[in-house]
Amino acid sequence: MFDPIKSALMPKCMFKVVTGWSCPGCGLQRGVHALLHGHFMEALSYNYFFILSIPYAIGLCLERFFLPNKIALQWRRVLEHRYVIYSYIFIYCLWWVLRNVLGI
Amino acid sequence: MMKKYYYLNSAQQQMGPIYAEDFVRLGLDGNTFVWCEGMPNWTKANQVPELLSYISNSTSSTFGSATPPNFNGGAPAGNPYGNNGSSYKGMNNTPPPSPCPDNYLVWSILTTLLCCWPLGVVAIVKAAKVEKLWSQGFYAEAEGMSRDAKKWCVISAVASVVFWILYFLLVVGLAAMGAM
Repeated sequence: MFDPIKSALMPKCMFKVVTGWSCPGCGLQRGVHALLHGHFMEALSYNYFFILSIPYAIGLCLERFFLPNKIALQWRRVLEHRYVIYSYIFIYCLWWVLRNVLGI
Repeated sequence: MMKKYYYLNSAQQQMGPIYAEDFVRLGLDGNTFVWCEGMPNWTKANQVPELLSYISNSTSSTFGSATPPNFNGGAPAGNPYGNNGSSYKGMNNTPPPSPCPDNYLVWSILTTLLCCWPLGVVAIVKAAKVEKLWSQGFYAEAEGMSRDAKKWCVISAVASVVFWILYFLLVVGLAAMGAM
């Protein structure tokens, strides 16, 4: 398999290419690549926001597409509550700034 | 597949979806406004033939009422239920024309995560606003916000894919030039 770090053909983040800064989602390909090789901590180190964003995305997918209706509704009340969403955006933006300032 | 119904509670907020048998459990009566896919508008439950066996018969004269008197189904405007949304309700107190529009939150989260393209944040912000607007009675605004959320999801996804293709062509082009 191609290593995203070495292969120039892997898709790149538009924001990173244009500005040189990392976007809050950068590191996903490298992370998945590391995970497929069994390196869990290395995968996480490419983007610590994965701790939050990936479970949240999985939860939303479950709620929208897989769970039976009644359970999905309970999940939706929590996952799609506007304060939860606003918190997510806040942490997302915070991470965006922090990772570029601290270089992580 | 079982039909899913939405209904308006006593504070005129949209609830559900629920199944027909839930009407028994929730003690909903024939005056409750319900909507399901295929209905043009909100309809009283006692006008929906397939719900008749599930609703309590408070409106029918043949049975005594077992429904609490304070449960007034599709409630009129200005009811005393102090709910967070009701204090600044939208101008129109008519029942919403259809269920709350999709907020596309799952798509906006996925585009921000997978596409590596932060424009999806706009979609997340819009997604957060849909339900609030709806619960306040701003139905048209909620519909508009839902469309906006969808639009920004599509914009960020398409922009990413277009960029990837251009980038790919550039890399291949440079490699080809290097080989010459």
